[in-house]
Amino acid sequence: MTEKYDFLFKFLVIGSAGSGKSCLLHQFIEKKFKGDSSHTIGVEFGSKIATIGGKSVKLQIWDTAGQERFRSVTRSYYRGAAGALLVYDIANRESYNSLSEWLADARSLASPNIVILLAGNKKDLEAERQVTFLEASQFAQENELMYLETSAKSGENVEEAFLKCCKTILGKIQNGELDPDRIGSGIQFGDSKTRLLNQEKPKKPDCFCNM
Amino acid sequence: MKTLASAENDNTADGEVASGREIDHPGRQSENEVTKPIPAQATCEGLIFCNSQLASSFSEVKCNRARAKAGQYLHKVLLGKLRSQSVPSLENDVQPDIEDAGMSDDIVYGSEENSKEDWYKTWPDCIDKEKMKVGLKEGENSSVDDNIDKICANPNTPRSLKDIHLPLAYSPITKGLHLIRSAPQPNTNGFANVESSKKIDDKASLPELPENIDNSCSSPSDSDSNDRTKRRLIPGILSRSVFSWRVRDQEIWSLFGRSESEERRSLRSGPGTVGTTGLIQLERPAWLPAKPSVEHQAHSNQHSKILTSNRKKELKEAKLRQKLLQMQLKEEEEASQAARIWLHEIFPKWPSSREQKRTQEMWWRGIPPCVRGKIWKLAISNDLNLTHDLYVICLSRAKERLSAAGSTHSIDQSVENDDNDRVHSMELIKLDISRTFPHLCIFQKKGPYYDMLHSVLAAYVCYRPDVGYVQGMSFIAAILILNMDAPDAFVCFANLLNRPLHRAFFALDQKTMDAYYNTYSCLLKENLPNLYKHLQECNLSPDLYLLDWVYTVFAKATHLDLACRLWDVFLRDGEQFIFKAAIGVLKMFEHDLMTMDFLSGSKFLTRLPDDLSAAKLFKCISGVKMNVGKNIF
Repeated sequence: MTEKYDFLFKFLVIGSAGSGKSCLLHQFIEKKFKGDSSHTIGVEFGSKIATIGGKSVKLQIWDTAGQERFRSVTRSYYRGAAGALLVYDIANRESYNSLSEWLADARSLASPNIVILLAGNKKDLEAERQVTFLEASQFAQENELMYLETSAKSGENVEEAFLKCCKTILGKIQNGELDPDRIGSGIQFGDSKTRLLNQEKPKKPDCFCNM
Repeated sequence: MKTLASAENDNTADGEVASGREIDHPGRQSENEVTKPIPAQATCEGLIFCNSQLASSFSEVKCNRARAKAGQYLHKVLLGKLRSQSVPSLENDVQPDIEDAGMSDDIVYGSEENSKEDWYKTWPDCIDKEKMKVGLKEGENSSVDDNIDKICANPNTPRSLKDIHLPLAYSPITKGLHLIRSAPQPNTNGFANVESSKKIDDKASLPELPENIDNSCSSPSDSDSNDRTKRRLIPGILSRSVFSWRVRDQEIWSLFGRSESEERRSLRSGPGTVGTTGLIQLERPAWLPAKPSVEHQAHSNQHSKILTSNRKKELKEAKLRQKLLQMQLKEEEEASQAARIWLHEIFPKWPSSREQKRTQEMWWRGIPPCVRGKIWKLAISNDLNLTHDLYVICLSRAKERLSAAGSTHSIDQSVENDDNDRVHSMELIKLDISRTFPHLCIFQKKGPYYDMLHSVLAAYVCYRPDVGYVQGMSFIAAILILNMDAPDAFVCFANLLNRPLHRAFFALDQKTMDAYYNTYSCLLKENLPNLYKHLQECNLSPDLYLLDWVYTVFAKATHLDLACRLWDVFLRDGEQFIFKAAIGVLKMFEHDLMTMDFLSGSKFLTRLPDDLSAAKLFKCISGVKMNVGKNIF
């Protein structure tokens, strides 16, 4: 292992089919818009190391299939996720309507403290908008989600969305709300040194460390 | 025996000429008898077939254009290439209406168009304008190319492109063809040879191609010429192995790998090439003091040394090219031989010939694309006894539903639940079609196969509403459509999906799926114990990567040529081959995978490298053992 990082977060990207999950991921990692991507079957993976507040965090991103019918398969991927991007398409009402189902899945199957950011994607399609900013932000507030409107095409708010999530998770670790050592927290230490600095009393690891 | 790949190249030539895009440059510039050998050499090293004149003209063109229309130049050439790939439509004999019936470039390229005067609606039109241009630029004394003159003499007569002998040179830089006025260098012979062979190719290949690629069942816009124009835009990768099934029985083509075509492109323009190495030693101008004789001697020695070394290099390269060409010809010969055997010996005596050792062996090596569809159809068989009529019925029912849903859907959300579900399916199908083989650009809206794929999937949803549409199906249907007609594809599709493995997966029957995963794990443990242990330690469970491979039978994970070969054997050996191939892939990359952790391993396996070598993979697959007791297959 040559790369060094302090934490590794398991991160999900979920939402209805065609809302732009894979494109968001691609934009975040490659900083490019991939117009001709094919639909995800099952799950695809991405990773990126981000530095937030002096800590380097490696994101292990699970980009899941969006079709309703695949729910039973994708549910098995949720276990132990520390964060999630819940994506809908602002130009597609249906994708917004199904948010609560996705949310229920994420809350019940991932770690209970999972940090979720609601991303209204395809912000560039302003003319075809079907879901207003206000409406979605109210939904976010009611469900204690962070909220951003993003555009995988222009890149607007894409990095911010991922980083904002990370920042919140890091904050929760630091104030003790999240315990990285708990099984299924979705968080692993990248380095034993930070482990000692960060946590008061490191118990024996349930997670494997990359030293 | 000529190949489809070469046919494609030749059509590129036709397309370039027909669209009249680039022919002005050399024609215009080569009037300059003054050569500029050195800059030409520097900038146009890759220009094949060119003499220094052409090279210099090319470099000038490049410089001139560079500022004004930086990207446009290349853009047009590339677009020109793209357009020329609309293989079936460019043969005038077959479709005489192309030139007159408003196949105007504006339709296709309209959005990128800035300077309309460079674009021509028809071939005679282009020649007209071309002549005007040449005339304007070079005055009366200009010896416009004889050929152009000939064509110009009667600009309004639509003519077969085959009749027009244009001296063309392929430039790998622009990926386009350039007209050259004459070939004054000693390489004229070689040039002429290639030219004439191209002509032969044209004659041999073009009439074989289908008249109209659009035979989809539900294209409402058939009469719309815009649509038809766009449907003809088919990128090169396709015409190689995809269209071949339409070639029917008349001729047999062979299959070539993705990279081979590019090679071929350069090879074909290869023999007889003398590059841009004409280094001319000029006399010292009279107004300068003469060189001392020693110096003069030294310089001319240097000059000749450079020339000889260049010549040697070129000779060597030419030999290499020759060798490659011969190798390829041999391969082609073998492939066409195989196709002949498939078509005339195996196919007619199907059920009995299937089990023959030779058939099985040849099957493993890959079915030639021209017979692939037929053999697949036989191999899949029709246990469900589906008829083409059923397809038509399902399709019309699907259309009815869709149009009915379209009008009521938004108003009345609480229709029947089942019906609503189907509408969702239909909407998702539309979304997914353009996301199926996106790089091929044929399944996108207005692409040639969009309607066909939509029809097959929609008909299936009506045929099996209980299964409905599940993502992944579009890839299976697409692979079938690329090899057979829509009704046949539907029948094969429904039968394939009725096999136990796919039935379980597409019904998302988790229990059965787990059983399959377990069996696969056992096989993996048996075949690659170390890797199995490593992956277990990483928590990388098979379902993460296997799901995609099963759902699409590697159509999404590998490139099209390889996917078709895997499908060949999948249809020979049945569904167990998917697992065998999966272990083959793991075996092929065992060494790499052993060094990877969960993240890099899963990333790697869910997105395999684009350039998987078929030969290597099949070698790995052949070594996989499938006999681990409790096999549920």
